Amino acid sequence: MGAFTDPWTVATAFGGVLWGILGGALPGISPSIAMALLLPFTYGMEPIPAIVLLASVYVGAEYGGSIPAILIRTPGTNSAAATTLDGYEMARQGKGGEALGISLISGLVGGLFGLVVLVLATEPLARVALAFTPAAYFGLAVLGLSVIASLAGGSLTKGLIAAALGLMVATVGTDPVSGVPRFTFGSPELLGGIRPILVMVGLFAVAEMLVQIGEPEWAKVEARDTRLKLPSLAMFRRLLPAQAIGCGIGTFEGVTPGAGGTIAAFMAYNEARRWSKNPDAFGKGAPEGVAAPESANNVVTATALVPLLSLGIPGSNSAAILLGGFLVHGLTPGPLLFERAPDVVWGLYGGLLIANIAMLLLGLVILTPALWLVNRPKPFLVATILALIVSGVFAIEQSLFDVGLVLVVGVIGYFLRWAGVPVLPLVLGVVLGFMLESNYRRSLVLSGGDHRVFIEDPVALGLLTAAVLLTGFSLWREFRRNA
Amino acid sequence: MLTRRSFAAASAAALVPFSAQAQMRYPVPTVTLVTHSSPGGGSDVFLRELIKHLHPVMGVNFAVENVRGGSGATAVARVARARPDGSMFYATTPTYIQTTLLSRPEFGYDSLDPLAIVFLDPEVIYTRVESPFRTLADAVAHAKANPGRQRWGAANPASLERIAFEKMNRLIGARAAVVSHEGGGDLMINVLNGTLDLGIGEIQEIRAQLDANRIRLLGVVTEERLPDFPDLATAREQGVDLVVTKFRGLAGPKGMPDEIAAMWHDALRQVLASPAYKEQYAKESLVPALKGREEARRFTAEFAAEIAATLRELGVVR
Amino acid sequence: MSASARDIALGLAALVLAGAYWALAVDLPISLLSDAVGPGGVPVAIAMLMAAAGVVLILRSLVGAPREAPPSPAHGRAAGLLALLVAYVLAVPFIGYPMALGLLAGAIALYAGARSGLGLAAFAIGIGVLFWFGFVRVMGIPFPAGTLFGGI
Repeated sequence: MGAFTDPWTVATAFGGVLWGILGGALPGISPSIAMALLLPFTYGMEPIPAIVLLASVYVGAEYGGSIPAILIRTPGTNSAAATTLDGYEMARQGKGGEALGISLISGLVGGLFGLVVLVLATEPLARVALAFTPAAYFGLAVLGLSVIASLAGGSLTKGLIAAALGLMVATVGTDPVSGVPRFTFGSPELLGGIRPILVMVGLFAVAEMLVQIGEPEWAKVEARDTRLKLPSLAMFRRLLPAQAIGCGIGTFEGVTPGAGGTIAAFMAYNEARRWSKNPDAFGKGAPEGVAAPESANNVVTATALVPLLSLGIPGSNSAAILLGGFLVHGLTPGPLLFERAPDVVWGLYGGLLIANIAMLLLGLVILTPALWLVNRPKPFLVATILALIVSGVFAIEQSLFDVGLVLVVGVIGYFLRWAGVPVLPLVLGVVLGFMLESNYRRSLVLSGGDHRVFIEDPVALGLLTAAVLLTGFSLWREFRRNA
Repeated sequence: MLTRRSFAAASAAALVPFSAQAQMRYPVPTVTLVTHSSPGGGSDVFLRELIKHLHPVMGVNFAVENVRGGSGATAVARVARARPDGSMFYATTPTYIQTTLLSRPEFGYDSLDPLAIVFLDPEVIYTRVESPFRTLADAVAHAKANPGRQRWGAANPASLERIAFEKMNRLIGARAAVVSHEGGGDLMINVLNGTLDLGIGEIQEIRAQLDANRIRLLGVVTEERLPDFPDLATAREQGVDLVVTKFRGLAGPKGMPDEIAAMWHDALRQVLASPAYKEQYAKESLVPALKGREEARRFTAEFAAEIAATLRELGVVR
Repeated sequence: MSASARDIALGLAALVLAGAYWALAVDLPISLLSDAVGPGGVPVAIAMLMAAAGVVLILRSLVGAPREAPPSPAHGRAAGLLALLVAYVLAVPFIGYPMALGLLAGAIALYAGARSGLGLAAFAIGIGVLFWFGFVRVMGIPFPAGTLFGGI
């Protein structure tokens, strides 16, 4: 573990986390974009600091996304979408500082737990990743969608409309099987599909600003609540079950390539609510509603490295950038990495540990000014947020088309709120739609059109059964509460 | 992106005189090379390796710009609108032709003028090491004997690899299920867990599993055998008349003077012959295939016509 | 508008959208690379899901007791803000990123109730310069410099 004694590695870990937190907190700059912006800098570096730098950006960005989610109801990253539910509610009740503290500590718990899993269990978990056939991925996507039943809030019908709209968005772009362009209206910008982050930014941030500007009495956060507050020991104990749920789900979703932090966060939120003694508090500012998703998406920062390191298979955009970082330094992640470059692997592990410590320390430093910033006079705050949005969205692909697209989504989000439609099912549809459709169709191509493939594959059968049971349970609970 | 400044700074130090015969200086001090791939992606790595070696030969500063979006159409548009003074080029791959054919953007591949073809990327057909197939001929014999039973996987829908497998299907009458994936990772999992009988891809993508002896190469889909895999027979040798050509090259805005093209041809030839670069690209199994401007123009036009015909024939485009 | 009327409007919108999407989906070209489900298969299912949800919503609103609607936001104010944002998107290619962004920030702050004056001007210029420095100089993202000033 030479990483600790090498000041250069320690410095890059801190720098990477700082950059990641800032990038993650900017709406539009996702973890993979923040990493991609730094990647060219790493070409001239030594391999270990270069890899540590990129991994630290990932850690920082996944955490940073929760800051705007809590403070301004805008997830900075996809996986922070679930955090808006209770995080922003806490902020509205004047407990923003406490919510930020919970998110920071839960992120740390998740990051450290994920690191332990990565160090101890990479080999067996890689086998889990390999057991996932297209049919199993379809099952995983259905399981993720089953969360809609409880995210729909008051009206399941409206939740279904939102989910269908999200699935429609996910079908835009190149058809996953035949490659024909679908719903692109001849525009090359749409050929690659609509990025979920654009939908998030429009649906949350832009729509929120459009609503707020029309409110006669602007929601006010009381000035005395601008202090960051770390959870007390009693609170920490109370949050442990929620964090444990987040850790478990995050591990599972991290090691299956393609699933990722967003679904992990949503499922963790849902399960934390299901097993809570007081499920009705969720959505009304429950601390557990921040702890569960934030520990889950930070576990993923470590466990998403399992398929990358052990199989050489990147499971997400961020992991793909990290793979690029390895390749540029002549290292090929895969079964032989542990034999050929053990120093790099252990350097990465050490770097991840430092990155998590850096996340805690930098979080403590950054959160107070962040709280101060969102308490500036509203006109300037709104102007600054919108300036950030139009800049951050342009930065993703240097495309004004994307900025226009975000505005369109914002208007749609505005009307959905007006009609009382919950937006989270829409988000889930966008995130899961492609995975759902492509694996459904792949499975049928493989089986020659026989739907039994979804029952005969044991993993798929297990996941689909779980989805049915969980949905049934949620519906029964909603029914009982309404009756 | 960041790279422009960092490379300019790194290379501002020396202006090495241009090579022997051409005493003429390159007309602009900085050349920007644009790619649609993100940092760390295929074309990005190709450009960054290339300019390391081109810089001392051509005596100009190089910058790499990653212009993503629009499946390459944005990057093509940026270069097509640049001044034709040799200051900006686009790193070509078959993608820019495919995007043009699939979505007909305002600026297509034909709004650029090919400058050179530098490398061919060989494609290989492989299976997992537990598979009973030792060669492509084994797999083909099995497929012919059991039509409709095999499952083959390619990385992306409507990609060259996918089209290649569809062609192979017709050639040998296998009626195999051909599944497309999202990039190489998905595909590799399904080859390793035995869901698929055959996969197809670039050697670079499968290197990790190949080195770890988890997969077995069955055949290479090029005209000739690869120098670093002399025992690996081509598909043709194994009775399947299939050749996939994937290229890496450069193209610029239209109207560029011939002298500039000649200087590039010269410089590229020199660079490809240099031992340091050779070692680098051999490791990635890239096959040097330098074509100058005229040849590159003809090659690109022929390639595009062939792809267009295939896509139309398969009904992907109308 | 009452809550029921809003639900009916939403249900009708869902039906219209489902219909349009369905029409596009069945019209997708079927290529030889296609599978049995086809490029339009899943979209048709999604359209049916949305149409069904829309019908249920309309029926329930017609049958159920009228409910109190939540307060409606001021659409005019929102439209004004949207107009400023659209103006920014249209202006960037001509006047360049820093100037367009500064103007946008200033205009939004003014629209949102800030008093005009030196403070506002300083804020607008500050945003323009700060963001230009951060995004263009530090991150190196090629924002439009503005054709007005000879950039691309």
